[in-house]
Amino acid sequence: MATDTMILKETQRKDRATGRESQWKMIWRRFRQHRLALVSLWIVIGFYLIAIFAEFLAPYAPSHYNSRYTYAAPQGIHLFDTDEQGNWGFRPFVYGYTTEIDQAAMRRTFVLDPDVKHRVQFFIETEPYRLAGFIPMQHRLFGVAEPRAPFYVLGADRLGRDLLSRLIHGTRISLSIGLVGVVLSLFFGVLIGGFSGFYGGWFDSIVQRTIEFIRSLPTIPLWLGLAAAMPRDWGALQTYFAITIILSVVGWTELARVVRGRFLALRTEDFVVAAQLDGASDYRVIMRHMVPSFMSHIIAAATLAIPGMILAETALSFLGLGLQAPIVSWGTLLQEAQNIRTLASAPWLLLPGVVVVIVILAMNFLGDGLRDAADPYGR
Amino acid sequence: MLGFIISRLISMVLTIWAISLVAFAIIQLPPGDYLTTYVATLSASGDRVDPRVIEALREQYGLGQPFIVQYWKWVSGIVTAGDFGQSFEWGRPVTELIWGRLGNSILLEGLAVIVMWFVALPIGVYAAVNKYSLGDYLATIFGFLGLAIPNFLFALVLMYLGYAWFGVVMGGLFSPQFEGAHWSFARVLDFLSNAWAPVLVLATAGTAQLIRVMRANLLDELRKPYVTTARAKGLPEWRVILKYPVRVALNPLVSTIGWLLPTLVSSSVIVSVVMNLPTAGPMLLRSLTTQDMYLAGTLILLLGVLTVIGTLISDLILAWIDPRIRYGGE
Amino acid sequence: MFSRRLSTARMPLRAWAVSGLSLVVLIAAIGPVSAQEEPPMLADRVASGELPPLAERLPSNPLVVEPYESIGTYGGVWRMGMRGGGDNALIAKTVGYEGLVRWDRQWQEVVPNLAASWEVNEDATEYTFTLREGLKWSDGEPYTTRDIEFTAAMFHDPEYPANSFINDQNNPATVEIIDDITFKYVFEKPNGMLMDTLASINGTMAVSIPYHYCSQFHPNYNPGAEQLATDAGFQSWALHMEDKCAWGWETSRWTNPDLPNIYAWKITEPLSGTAARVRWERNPYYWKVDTDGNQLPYIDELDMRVSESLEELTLLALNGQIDFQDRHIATNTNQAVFFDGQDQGDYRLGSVVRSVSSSLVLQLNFNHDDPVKQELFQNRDFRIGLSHAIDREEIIDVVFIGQGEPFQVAPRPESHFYDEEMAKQYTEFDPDLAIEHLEAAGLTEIGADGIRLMSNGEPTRITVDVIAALRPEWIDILELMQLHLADVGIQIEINNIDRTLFYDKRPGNDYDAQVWAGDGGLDVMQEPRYYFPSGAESVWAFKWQAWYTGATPEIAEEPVDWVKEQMALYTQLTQEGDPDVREDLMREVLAIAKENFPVIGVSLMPDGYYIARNNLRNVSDQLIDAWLFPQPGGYDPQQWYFE
Repeated sequence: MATDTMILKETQRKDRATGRESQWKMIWRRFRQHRLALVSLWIVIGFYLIAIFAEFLAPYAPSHYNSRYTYAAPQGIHLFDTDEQGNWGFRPFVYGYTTEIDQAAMRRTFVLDPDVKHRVQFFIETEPYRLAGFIPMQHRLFGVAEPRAPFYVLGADRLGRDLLSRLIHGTRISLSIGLVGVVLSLFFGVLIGGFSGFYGGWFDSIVQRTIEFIRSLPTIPLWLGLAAAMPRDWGALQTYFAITIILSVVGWTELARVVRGRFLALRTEDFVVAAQLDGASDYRVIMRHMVPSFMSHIIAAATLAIPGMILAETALSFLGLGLQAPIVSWGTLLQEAQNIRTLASAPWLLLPGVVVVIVILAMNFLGDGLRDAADPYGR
Repeated sequence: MLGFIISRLISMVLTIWAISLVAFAIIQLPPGDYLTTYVATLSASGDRVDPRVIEALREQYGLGQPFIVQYWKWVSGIVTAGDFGQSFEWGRPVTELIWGRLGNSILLEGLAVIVMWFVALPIGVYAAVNKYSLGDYLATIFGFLGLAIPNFLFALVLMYLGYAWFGVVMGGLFSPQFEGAHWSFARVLDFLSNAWAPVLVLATAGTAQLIRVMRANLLDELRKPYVTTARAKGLPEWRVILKYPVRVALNPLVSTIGWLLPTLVSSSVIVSVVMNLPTAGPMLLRSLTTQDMYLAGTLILLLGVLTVIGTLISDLILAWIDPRIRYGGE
Repeated sequence: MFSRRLSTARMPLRAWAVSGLSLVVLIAAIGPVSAQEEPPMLADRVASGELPPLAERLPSNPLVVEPYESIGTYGGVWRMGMRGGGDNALIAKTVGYEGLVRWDRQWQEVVPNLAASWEVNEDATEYTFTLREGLKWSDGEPYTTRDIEFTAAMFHDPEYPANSFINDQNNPATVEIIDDITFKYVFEKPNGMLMDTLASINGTMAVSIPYHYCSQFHPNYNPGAEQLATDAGFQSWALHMEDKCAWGWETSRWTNPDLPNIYAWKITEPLSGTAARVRWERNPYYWKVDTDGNQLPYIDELDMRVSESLEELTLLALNGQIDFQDRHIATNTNQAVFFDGQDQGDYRLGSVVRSVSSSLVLQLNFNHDDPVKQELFQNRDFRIGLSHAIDREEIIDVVFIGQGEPFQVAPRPESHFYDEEMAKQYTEFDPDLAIEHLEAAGLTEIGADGIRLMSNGEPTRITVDVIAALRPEWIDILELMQLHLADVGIQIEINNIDRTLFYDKRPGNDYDAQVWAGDGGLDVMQEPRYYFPSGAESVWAFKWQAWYTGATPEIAEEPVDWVKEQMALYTQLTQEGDPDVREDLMREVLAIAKENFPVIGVSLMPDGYYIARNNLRNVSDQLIDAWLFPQPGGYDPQQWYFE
């Protein structure tokens, strides 16, 4: 800790001495000090890459099923093996299953069979698909070569669909819903909240009443009503965007309120008054003097809002609103998993929950690091 | 101060009126009405009703009338007679059904709020003062874990573990012998022995956010010149922190007190459904899905009123905590 | 596990009730219906004079119920789970199945219940019933023909919105009282189905409104009824009446503990919007006895946990805190969990035969507004093509873990209407044959994306409405079907919608196809919705059914000839008194349905299961689950007991 501070002070002194470093460079320099945030940044970037390249990374399409492997337990993946000559090396494989059908209990039981090994191959050729919707491709990152061989690294769901593939495809929907939703909320929140707090008067009153009004409606009926009012013939994509907008209808108010509160407190601060007396335009006062002074708070609120959106999406799916099967999102995956059967005998289906936790943790730490780094008063 | 309060009261009445209008509109948004839902439900169980019967009921309930007429009937009933209308499903006045549930909600959510604040504020202060210490990281990680785990999943896992490990099924807020009883010390104890699980689930979800905001705000304050001045004057460190920075840092938190209620109601709907809690949440959800419009409308309206009152209170507290915020007209 | 159960109330009984076998021997020596002892729960109240002794409470000819396994012992609380307001049917099926007559446990024959005997005239227009002598409501008031007449009068009252066979507009019933225990239902036209109706759960409508209590709410009987309603805060007497004396099994019927009933148990804690449980205790005036003459029920109390949470109910059952249940929790998904939990929860699983035939019925809209689709959907070759394209074995394998067999919408094997050919036709998975039929239906052109083009050049795209919330396996089946049909160039889009929307679309004719389960697998004659357009659930020909029922003339459309022939046959059937002739007529209706193949089925619905605690005895090993033959009510839960 002490060394950290020393280093920090050291760099600051240098910056001041040279006076050449740009603000963003300074932010990046400070950001790197925050190890957890740095790691989180990579995790978040990783997940967004997964979202972009979902079709290539997932071994199967999300709807691909194999009737013989309903509720198959995870195979795991074994990286090293000996080849025919007995040489040990990097040869990833999975074990096959032996299956028993228990009619009375209505289930299949799977035991990994160490005698059957299915080799995992990279850049395996598959049916043609379009990456991210437009790049035609013929290969996937990895998979097993035998067409009917089971390949369930993280296990299978009730229809024998690969959980890993569904998770990867779900990443795209869930992450982008959070991002789009927060961008929308942020835009309206800062814009409206800023004006309201800066100008005050009747504009402030109207905005305040509107916010108060929207916020005083419990979100569940609001969502329920809006979701039910969506036209019936909307496709998956339209529903998806409608859901993001519905989420931000409530989301922007919180940011606006926070921003306004800050403006109210700041506009009597000396440095703001001084700038105004200097004849600086409103725009300049807001953007140069006021925004930087509470940037940190906005960043903290925004990073907290993304996971909020992701969680809201899972909550909506839980209530049977929002996204529905056959759309694959983390929310719909969790909704399918939320029963006693899963907890008792197929706990791997709760993995989407673990992924949600990881992403949300990472985003929060990332926001945290950004906040500290962007702080103009930094130590 | 008086003028401020009066003008806020006037705008409060307007807001409540707007809420009543929108609440009524929301419940009318989905296509169909209570009777179509009713027919659908009967049909699903293999039962059937003569369309003539439905027509007769629709007439009795006044469901065929235009929106404005129905709304006017509802609102004038509330204003003139305190009559919030009938619940179609239960054939009872709405007021008979909701108070117990709303009470349970307020109790449960109030408890969750108290737990959240008691846990979050000290941790937030500690994390800000000891920035980047091990304690800070631990607090952050545990806080975020609580935030990141979806409520319904947490509740479900808790219930399953209760069954699998202890042979206990968590559910409800009271043991059978206390369900209909009047409040007594024994009933309070019984309530607490059942309520800890949902309170835990609700509180874990909100605590992280409070810790974060508290920490962030306090950090902003701590490096202000007046803190340095206070330190320089030789005040003991805990007084330096508690006297002003903490009070100022509470400001954005306080401004959201009023909104905790609808947020909590919404999140508690999910917990309540999973854990079968007799709160307003599941009743709201059910009345919305069955389109029991007066029941749903009244619940939304009352939650809205509670929020507006909460906002008013938080505005007053805000004005009191942070002297820099002017409250009167300029 | 045992130690945790509350069994104090039952402990003293062990001394009283000698073990089942020796008791039977003892009684058999003395003869039937001997000196009876008071159920222990009531002994004190009888001793204090609050209740009259048993002999005065029972009819002179009580209904003797044959126990399933053995004579039982008194006491205990039967714990169940229910889901609040929308779950009124659970109570009806468990407690409320008491009509003039009932079905036997095999759902084969109509047997006496409240009525000790009955006669039918030659042309099935007059039915004469004789009630048991000395029947009493649960408050001790006599049950007479006056109550039957009053109930009928309520159904005929246009202001009291209720419906049953009594006020069927095509053939209403009038009641003629002969004496206190004898009365007649008289019809204008022959009514061949009356005994079936009366024995079903719908028959409970006719007997359920007590004159002595309910007449006070009706202005014809009490001039102050309007005032009474106003004082109680109701807008009209009819709303007040509905609240106090609801018909059939309306939710509000279970919210009034003062409403006298004729069930084995009476309400002590009513259902309400805020109730956490609904409790019942034994009806001291219940009019059934076991073969030893002991008054039923054996079980003293019912405790129905009201829960919005299926997870809570599932865990309660797993934890042995539910004594009998199949509704809500006995799902496909849960079966493995319940199977594993049997030892820990000290319960057993029994089997439940579903009355539905196919697990999923695909109903294409014959009356589609788009003439091209209408013509296509009405084309038999098109439907046969679709049917052959479905890999049913795979669906059975995936969704039902191998349980069931490929099956069309047809009478189940247990039914005497079963026709293997009808059940199995076009179920073979054969894409080539499917393509042949689709081409015969005019779908010869294939578009750029591999989808066959309809006669107007548009791709064959069918939106299928489904309510996944109702049966999760429907969406699973549809997702597989979607892939199967895509292979032969037919695209279906799965439209998972809310239940209300699902129904709303019908009158507006705003759907390509809808999905439901194959009702009418066992109740073939009573539920012919898929065999011909018989009512509002015949979604595949909604306008035709409107033409038949006359309920919504504004959307009615004259059907094609084969359907009209079926309708004529079925009308004849409902008026026929002779059961054999009725069956023959039904077979004719079925033959036409088989020939024309209107709807597409998937697989025979596999048996379900129920959960019963191991100490709960006299529960039949296999139950049939149907709406018309309710369970567990149909299996005499009055003679269930805890050992």
